[in-house]
Amino acid sequence: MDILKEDINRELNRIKEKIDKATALNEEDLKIVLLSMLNEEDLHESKQ
Amino acid sequence: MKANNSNRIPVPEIPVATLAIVQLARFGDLIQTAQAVEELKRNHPEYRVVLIARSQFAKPLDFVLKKTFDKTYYLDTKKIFVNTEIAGIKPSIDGLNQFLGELASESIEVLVNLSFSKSSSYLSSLIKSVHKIGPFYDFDNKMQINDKWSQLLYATVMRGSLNPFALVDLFKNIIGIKSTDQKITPVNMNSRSNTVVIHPFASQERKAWKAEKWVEVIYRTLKENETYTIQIVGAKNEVMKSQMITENPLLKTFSHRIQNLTGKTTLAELSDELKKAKIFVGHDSMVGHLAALNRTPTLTVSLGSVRPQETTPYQANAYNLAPRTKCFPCFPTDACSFNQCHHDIPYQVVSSAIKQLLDKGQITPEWIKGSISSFHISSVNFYRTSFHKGHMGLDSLIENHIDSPDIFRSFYKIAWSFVISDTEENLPFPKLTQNTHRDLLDALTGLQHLYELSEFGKKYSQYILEEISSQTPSIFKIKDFSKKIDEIDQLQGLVLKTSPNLAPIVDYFALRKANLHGDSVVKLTESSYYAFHECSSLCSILFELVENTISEHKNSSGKSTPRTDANK
Repeated sequence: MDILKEDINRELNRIKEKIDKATALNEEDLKIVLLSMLNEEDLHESKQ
Repeated sequence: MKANNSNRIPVPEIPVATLAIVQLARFGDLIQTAQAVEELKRNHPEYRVVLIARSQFAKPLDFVLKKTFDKTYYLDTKKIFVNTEIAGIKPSIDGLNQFLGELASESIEVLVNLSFSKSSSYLSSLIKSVHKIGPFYDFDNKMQINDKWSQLLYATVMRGSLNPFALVDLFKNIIGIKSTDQKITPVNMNSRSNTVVIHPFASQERKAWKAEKWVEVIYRTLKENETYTIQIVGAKNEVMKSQMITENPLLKTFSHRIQNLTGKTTLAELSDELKKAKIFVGHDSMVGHLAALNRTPTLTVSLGSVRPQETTPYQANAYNLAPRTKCFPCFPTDACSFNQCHHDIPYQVVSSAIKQLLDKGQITPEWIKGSISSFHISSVNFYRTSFHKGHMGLDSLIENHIDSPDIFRSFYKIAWSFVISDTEENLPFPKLTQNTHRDLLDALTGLQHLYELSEFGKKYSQYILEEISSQTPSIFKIKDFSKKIDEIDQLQGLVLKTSPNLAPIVDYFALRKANLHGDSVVKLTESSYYAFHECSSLCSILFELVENTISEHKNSSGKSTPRTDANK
């Protein structure tokens, strides 16, 4: 697994914990979620 | 004598309002976004309109986008994700920050997200602007959609076949563009070359015929139109598919009149070819929208999950053939091994329509009745676009065939326009068959239930407000009333089991109630009251439309009476 994926998964787990505890997210969290989605979309796009 | 105005007080500069449009989706959506914004720029050339789009889709379309947008900001993920396999997420965050920093220099007054994907909603939440339209996420990770047209788009587009609006018109409504009918100068088709451009592919297999059917269409078109040549166009990844057509033995004798441009043109070059052609024929794809931009007549073959009323190329007199297959339009995730809808449009209808368009420039209900075998047309809906008050609609060209979704779309067009934008649409009464009559009667019962439930919703919202304003508000009573409102929401969903044609109402109001305004119980309850009130109004408008249509049907089948508008 590449380092980006490892980083994203770790950060997403942290964000998920925040959501589970009903803690408000911050801009940095939203950026991580956005990057994970853009990365997924790129992978999907390259398969087409 | 001369007036000396050297000491004139300088007129203060009026700041230019900047509108930023987020469109992260593919080529077709970008072109449709440009078509919507074009009218805004025509009406308000003083506005600065910038586009935020993914670079892999926006850069090849620069030649279109630069005519409409003052600037395009390219979200270049190749750049953002460079070397991340080794360096991890840090450089990507830096890249994203740089992109957001560039946007921050714009001082955006209104940000409009038109792409409705999760990524675009997260991006919208990160862009600074005074107002936000369309979906974005708040810091509780909850999607917010505060404007009604975006709520309608989100609740109804790709949710079934009952959205009556073209995507471009929905975009216009979301942005707040007041459309008017444009005077269009006719295109001189005589100056164009005798070329038919065909794009026989689509983004998904379910949306495109197999090669053999296109071979038949091309064979008949070339045989029946001796002076014409055909250009097959497509992307690089469609080259092999195009060869399956061009190398078919049936087309061998015509190979000198077939030009395979698949994978050989940029989008700008493709646009130039479309500009020279007499007609474009293809499935639902970006090429049709590019043809419409060049005012080339279009004939679209809609299959699979395509909703003709949403994505027919945005121009007057665009033709669309859609199957009458029961499961059409399906959802992209539906399993389908047989593709019945592919079989329900005979290739003969397509090649006859091409010939008629090349010979006469138009297709009329009379021509269909007199020239196409009823055996071939019995499984097909044939539509032509027209514009009314600047909005596009699809008119059925097959006499005495209007199905229930067609009728409900007309009703929804009248009702949504009135409830959301306070504008009036006048549409003629549809002719009913036994089946559509039965569906309307079912809808009457469903509408009555929805109306009654909404009235209950209003009542319980009011009880909550009264309880809160009483001297000793009881939290138990408030909770009880809230529970009743939750029950009402669930019961509204149950109505769909007997009246599936009312799904847009239930879906829209579910979304509306998930996006209530306010930061206190009072404000949220007031907002809930207004949502239920709006639902009641919509149901009574639709009830009246259905009732009037049934009465008109009874009158016209019993005795001849002059027809009037459905909403009178």
